Amino acid sequence: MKPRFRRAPRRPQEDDNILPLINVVFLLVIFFLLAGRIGVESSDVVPPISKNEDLPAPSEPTLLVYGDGRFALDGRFLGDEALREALAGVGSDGLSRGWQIRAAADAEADRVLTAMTLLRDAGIESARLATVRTGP
Amino acid sequence: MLNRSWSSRPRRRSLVSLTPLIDVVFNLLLFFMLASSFTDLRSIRLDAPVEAGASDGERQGCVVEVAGTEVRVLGRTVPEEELVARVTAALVGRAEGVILLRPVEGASLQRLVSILDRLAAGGVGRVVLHQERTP
Repeated sequence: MKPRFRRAPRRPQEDDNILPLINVVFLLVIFFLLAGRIGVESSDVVPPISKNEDLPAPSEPTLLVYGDGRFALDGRFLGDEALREALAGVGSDGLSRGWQIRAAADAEADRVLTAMTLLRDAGIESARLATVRTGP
Repeated sequence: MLNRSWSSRPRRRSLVSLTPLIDVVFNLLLFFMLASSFTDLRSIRLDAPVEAGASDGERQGCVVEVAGTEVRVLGRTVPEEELVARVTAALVGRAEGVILLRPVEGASLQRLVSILDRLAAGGVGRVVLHQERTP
């Protein structure tokens, strides 16, 4: 038995059915565009939770400190001496505008201090330590 | 009715076919979903640590040692709730209100940052990181 509609059934128009879908998908795209942040995110390195409110400066070179104490720069794992060599001269050629250290919350604090010491030896006196507002 | 007259009008062939458009939009959606992150990142500005014994800062500042489970102010273990009060008391009479914060015994970064937060909330002096000289 056919259901009774007040209007006559319209000619099937696949475009009409798909338009609301596109609307929703466009909204989702816009949402992710505005709410998300595109960038190199290492899910292995979860920064410590802190109540501080300072926003991170954008596009700073980032030094990663993993939970097991390894350093990584530009996607490469580096030992202490290799990092010292990689950083050599960075501070003198005008690139010392600011560095970010993204260290795992469970890393030894002493390793982070070592990283900062290595940065200082390269001429970078202060750095920003990445934190998060809430846990993962 | 306006609507009906519009819908019954012969449809103009659209310039762009919808299917490729949807493909592109879906691809964009996938990209943004996978590439974007929603972590609420913040950052703390920290100056490079001073090395223990490298200067006479130790004599002027109040050394706070952060161990895994306890905090020591000038070598004496204090309850964390009293940390700010003890540090404030220890800073009285010192020329510079410098707090030398030193992680010891493999304290984690989270632990150090928690103590930093606590000191910042208490608004006591200037906090300088302090590292034991590596052999």
